[in-house]
Amino acid sequence: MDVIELIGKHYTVAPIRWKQSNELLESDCGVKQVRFWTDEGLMNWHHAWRNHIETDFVLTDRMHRTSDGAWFVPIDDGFLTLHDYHSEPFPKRNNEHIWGRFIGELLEFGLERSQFQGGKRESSTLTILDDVTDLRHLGSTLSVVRNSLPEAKRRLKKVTEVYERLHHIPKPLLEPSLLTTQGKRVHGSLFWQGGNSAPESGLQGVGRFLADWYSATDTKSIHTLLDQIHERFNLMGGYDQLIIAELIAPREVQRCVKRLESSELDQSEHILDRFEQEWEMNRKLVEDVCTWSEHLAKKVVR
Amino acid sequence: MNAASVDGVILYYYDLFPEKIESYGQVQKITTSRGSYALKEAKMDQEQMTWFLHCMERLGEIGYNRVVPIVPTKYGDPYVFNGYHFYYLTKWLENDARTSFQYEDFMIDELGKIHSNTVKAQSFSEEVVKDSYGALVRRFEERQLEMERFTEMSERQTYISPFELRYLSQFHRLMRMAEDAKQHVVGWYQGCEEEKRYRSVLCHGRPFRGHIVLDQLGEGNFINFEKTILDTPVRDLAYFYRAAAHYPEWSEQAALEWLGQYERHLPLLPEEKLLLASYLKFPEPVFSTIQTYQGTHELSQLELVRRLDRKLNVMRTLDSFANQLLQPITEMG
Repeated sequence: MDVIELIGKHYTVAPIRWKQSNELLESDCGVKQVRFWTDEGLMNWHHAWRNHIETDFVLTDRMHRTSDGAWFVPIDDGFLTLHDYHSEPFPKRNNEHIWGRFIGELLEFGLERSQFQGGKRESSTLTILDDVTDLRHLGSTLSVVRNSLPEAKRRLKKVTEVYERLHHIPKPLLEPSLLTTQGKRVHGSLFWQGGNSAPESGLQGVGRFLADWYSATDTKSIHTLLDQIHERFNLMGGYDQLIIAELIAPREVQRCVKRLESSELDQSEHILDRFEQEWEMNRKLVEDVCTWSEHLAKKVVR
Repeated sequence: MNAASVDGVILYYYDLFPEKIESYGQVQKITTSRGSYALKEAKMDQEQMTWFLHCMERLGEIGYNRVVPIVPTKYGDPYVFNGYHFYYLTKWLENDARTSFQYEDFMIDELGKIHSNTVKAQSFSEEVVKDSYGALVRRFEERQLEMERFTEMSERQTYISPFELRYLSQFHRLMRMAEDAKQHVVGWYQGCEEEKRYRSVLCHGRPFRGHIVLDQLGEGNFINFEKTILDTPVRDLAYFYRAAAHYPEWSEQAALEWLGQYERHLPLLPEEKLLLASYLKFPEPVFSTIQTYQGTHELSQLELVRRLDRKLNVMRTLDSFANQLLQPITEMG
């Protein structure tokens, strides 16, 4: 059966047409996102966090119920779920308390469900340079990247040390990518559009979120955001260090190499400029987060 | 009815895109291209909400279907909580006073069905019955005392208001009714003690015309089970009769027939009839009118006297009906 027909049959919303084939659907109740799952454990995890996180201050793209009250529809090779989809971004500035509380809630849930096994992946942070050691295939114009590699390796070594030192701390289970663009505004509230990827054990998702936040804000905003996260989820006792480790990890190197691999030669200059900007921004972010963490530690000591 | 607005997030949970919103007290009528809905803001805490949902579920379990069902959110939740209030949604059905629908016939029959399907003989506990008895007598006496205080205060006035004058002219009669009511409570208590029995049912809590709506076929349906409670069936019956006595359809004959209709489902025990008579005789409606008189400056004397007159008439009606109700017991006694 056609997906649109299937949705029309099982859900109370009336589908109209695809906005984006097999992904975004226009319906009489607005645009809906269709997700397909082959791993039931993974689908259950995504259902659980969406339901758990939603409170009176944040909405999530929870699974819609069918007319029979089920939150998924079995299909030939797995399951189908239906979600809300919105496009208006939720503002960052002056809303740090909402975003921060939300990230804190995610961390809390991720920690409670850290024993979950279905679809879980170990952290990918320590392997980010595995694919970038051999850069010969990218040509000779890449001295900037090549020259940055020793420093990138040193940074990764530092990350490894932090991981080893804090191996005993239970790590939350989170989606590996959390971006501010996933936060939408619905009736003035934050609406979080989740993904469907397998969760990873660790704080890389939070690291990416902070980097993303920082690229659009400033030191004051990131400090307020961290304060708000900390208010909901205690970052002391190692989690702050793990976040800093995620920020130290040379992801911009990995990103740059991937961009170069997938683009034409004439775009190299632009990609390399961007790489330098990201490198510099990341350096400042690490400094700012370290300052915040030191300040927090002093407050605790007092 | 007033034009109104609703927090968009609440409507978001139901994927409702309103064409029109009208306010009826705590209920908003939401008109959409998919039909009309009633959005209720419930003044309940979490515990009360859980109990309310449990009762709705229980009614479903016993196959009771003359209740307007709750429409779940798009996520399957029975309500929305916005951090301050609970909201729940039902289909909008009309409450049209102009129809020839026999509201009291419908209500008494349905109460009989709900009560008979949920009746539970409680394991008799002398202590529990004694506590209930004590609490009821205390409540009656406290209110009686308040009414006596109001009488003394009124009599001390140099110029007695029309309201006070009307009240004072009926005071002794009201006190007699209150004494009768207390005496019947004693009768109820003794009956429970002797028979070692006490039973409870699922009470709607507020059975009156305003909580009945009609579907497209003109069939009645109960709404608002928010005050539902496990208690003696007399609780609902007393509320029902007090409300019914305000309408022109009331007659002693009709009231007795309603009781007969109810008892086809659940015959009342003699002591329960005593308790019902006690509730009906106690001048609670007059007491609440005095409280309104003392607490409000918005209503005119004329309006207050009108209200008092209506309540006094209702009390006379209920007093007379209660005597009729007890006649068979008195004759047997």
